[in-house]
Amino acid sequence: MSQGGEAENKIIEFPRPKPPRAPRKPRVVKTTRARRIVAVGGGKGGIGKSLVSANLGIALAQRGSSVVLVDADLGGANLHSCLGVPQPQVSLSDFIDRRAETLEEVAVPTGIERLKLISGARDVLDAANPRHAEKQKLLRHIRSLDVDYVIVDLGAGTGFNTLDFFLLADTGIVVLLPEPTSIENAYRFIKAAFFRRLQLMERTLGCGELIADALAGAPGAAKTPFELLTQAREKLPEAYARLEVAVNGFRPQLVLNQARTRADHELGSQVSGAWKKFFGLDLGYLGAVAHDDAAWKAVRAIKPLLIAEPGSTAAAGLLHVAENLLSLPA
Amino acid sequence: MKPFQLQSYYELLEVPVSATTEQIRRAFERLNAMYADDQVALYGLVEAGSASQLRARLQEAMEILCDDDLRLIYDNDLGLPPRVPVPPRRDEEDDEQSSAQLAMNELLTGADRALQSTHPYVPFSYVSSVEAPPPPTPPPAVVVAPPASVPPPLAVLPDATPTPPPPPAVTTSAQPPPLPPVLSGEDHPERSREAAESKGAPSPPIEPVIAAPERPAAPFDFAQGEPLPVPSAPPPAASAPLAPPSAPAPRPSPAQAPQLAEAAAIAVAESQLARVSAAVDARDARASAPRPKPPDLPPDTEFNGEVLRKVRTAMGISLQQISEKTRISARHLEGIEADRYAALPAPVYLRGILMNLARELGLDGLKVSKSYLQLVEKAKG
Repeated sequence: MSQGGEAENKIIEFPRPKPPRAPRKPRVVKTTRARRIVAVGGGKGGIGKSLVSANLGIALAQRGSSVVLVDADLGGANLHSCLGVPQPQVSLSDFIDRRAETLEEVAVPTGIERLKLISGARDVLDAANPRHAEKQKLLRHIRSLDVDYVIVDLGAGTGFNTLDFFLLADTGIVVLLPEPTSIENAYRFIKAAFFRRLQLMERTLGCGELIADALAGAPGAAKTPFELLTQAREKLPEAYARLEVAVNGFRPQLVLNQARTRADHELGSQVSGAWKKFFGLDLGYLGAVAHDDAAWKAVRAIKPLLIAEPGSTAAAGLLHVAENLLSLPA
Repeated sequence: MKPFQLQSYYELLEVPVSATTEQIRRAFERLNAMYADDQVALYGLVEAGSASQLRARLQEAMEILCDDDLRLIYDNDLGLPPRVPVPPRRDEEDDEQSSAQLAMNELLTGADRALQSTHPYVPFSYVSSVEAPPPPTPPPAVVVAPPASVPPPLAVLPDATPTPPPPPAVTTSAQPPPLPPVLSGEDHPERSREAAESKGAPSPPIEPVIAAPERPAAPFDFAQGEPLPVPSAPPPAASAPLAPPSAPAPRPSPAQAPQLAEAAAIAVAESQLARVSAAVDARDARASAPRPKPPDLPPDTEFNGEVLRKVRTAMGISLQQISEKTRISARHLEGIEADRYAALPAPVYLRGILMNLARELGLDGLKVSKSYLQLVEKAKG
């Protein structure tokens, strides 16, 4: 009898230390990693921005972080399809048009734990071009979302709305394909984002004219970031130090999609190296995602790649990119 | 924020300052191919012509860093400590480098870091150092103050603080024992000690870098290969006159500081060059007869190409001979003598060439290069 009682006690006591482990993990992530906003852009359409956004979101959520995906491709939102969920009933438009008070109200579950989606899908023509005040409000609310990661999926092009979302992010990811067209657009996108960043900081920098000239492509204006710095050093020595800090804080990250060959895989570091050589600016490289029929199959099945084909090479590439993203300094 | 025009040769080639010639060559080949005009990675990035500019600079970087003499001068200008020549590998068993070697590599890596983080590289101007960048922070190991009795490290850079008077330049005629371009133990006592401790060895008998193998039973010893350019025991006195610890240094006024710094920098460069030339002389001494004495020239001679040519012909040396001896291409030598300034390489490179040429002609390398580079500057306007 007494022996049996001891055995019972052991069984009851055994599971006690266990429960705290599961919930603790996300909290650790939360406190050590300040919440971070990641924007995914790239200038060109059809290069896999949404695919990268959706699967990065899934990868981070699977690792225990709380994630909100924001579909900021206001004209052609389809992030929900990449996640395999039907078009949500509520969207960013409801927030912009004040039918919803907070962004949390328009965030819908995705069927994946800890991952929510704020859709941009709404077939209203002017939704793609929110007014300045609306955009500011949206940016402010995105910044104050109570999650570990916000991933903003951007539309194609280098319009100011797109660039401003990109620059809002702590980490700006530029997706590119190993094709001249995509590379050209990626460079254009990064350059535009760079000058836009300086323009937004214009007031504190005190060199608005130089930046405006550069943006307008005026004759004699700076064509590269370095030329701008050189001009600033000559004309506005007092603004130079602040400008230099602002310039050095600009560090987008590349993700190379649809890599087929070894040379394709190396292209990411080549682009990063060339950018650094010619402009003296840093450009990170998070990794390549292989060209993989699995990705195509997942899209056709309307399911996210990491869920439908977790063992594929493309999925492995995306997980690697997620790892590199996590290891970036905050 | 350093586009390639402002990068040092090491940064350009993306190699550490401790890189071997082989590594530098490989880096050059890789990058030269990477920035070919038809590379997709450059598409839409820069205007046509920028890539070829970059390739030209890569070429220049490779040429200078692959020439031991020119690299020494260049390193000195960057404020790097002298490099340890890495002995060629003979066997896998040689993989284990001597502790001093490892320590040196560490030091160079430190220098790398210091260079990248703090040294604002500005293209050289040999003529005036007033606008030159401030001397880079020496690597941390050098900063550590050595015990009071030990003279300060050789590699410490001149700065505005009271500088000891420049060392008497070692003249080639004196034929001192050839000093290899390595750091002796005295130069970096901290390093050697650290290295020794890390191996658990009792603390130093200070040994010269690339000392005799530590395992006496090693199947391969240095005697088997080419004799290394290291004397069996570097005379401790060699470093003493460079920085007399007890010599009362005259306190210079702040206004004098730049000039003093310049003088010290030149002196350091000169003593480095003297070491090299001493080593070269020692090597040549056995083979060749003593050099003919150069003709006497007035002290304020302007060394243009014509003067240099006259000196050379008066000594009865052909361009070919100089080219073979110095490994400077005959084309450059001809260009110098013909004063074809536009066709000559960049000043950094040219200076090294002039120093070497002057040495062959028995002239003062510093005077010749300074004078000639002034002419080049003037011609440029």
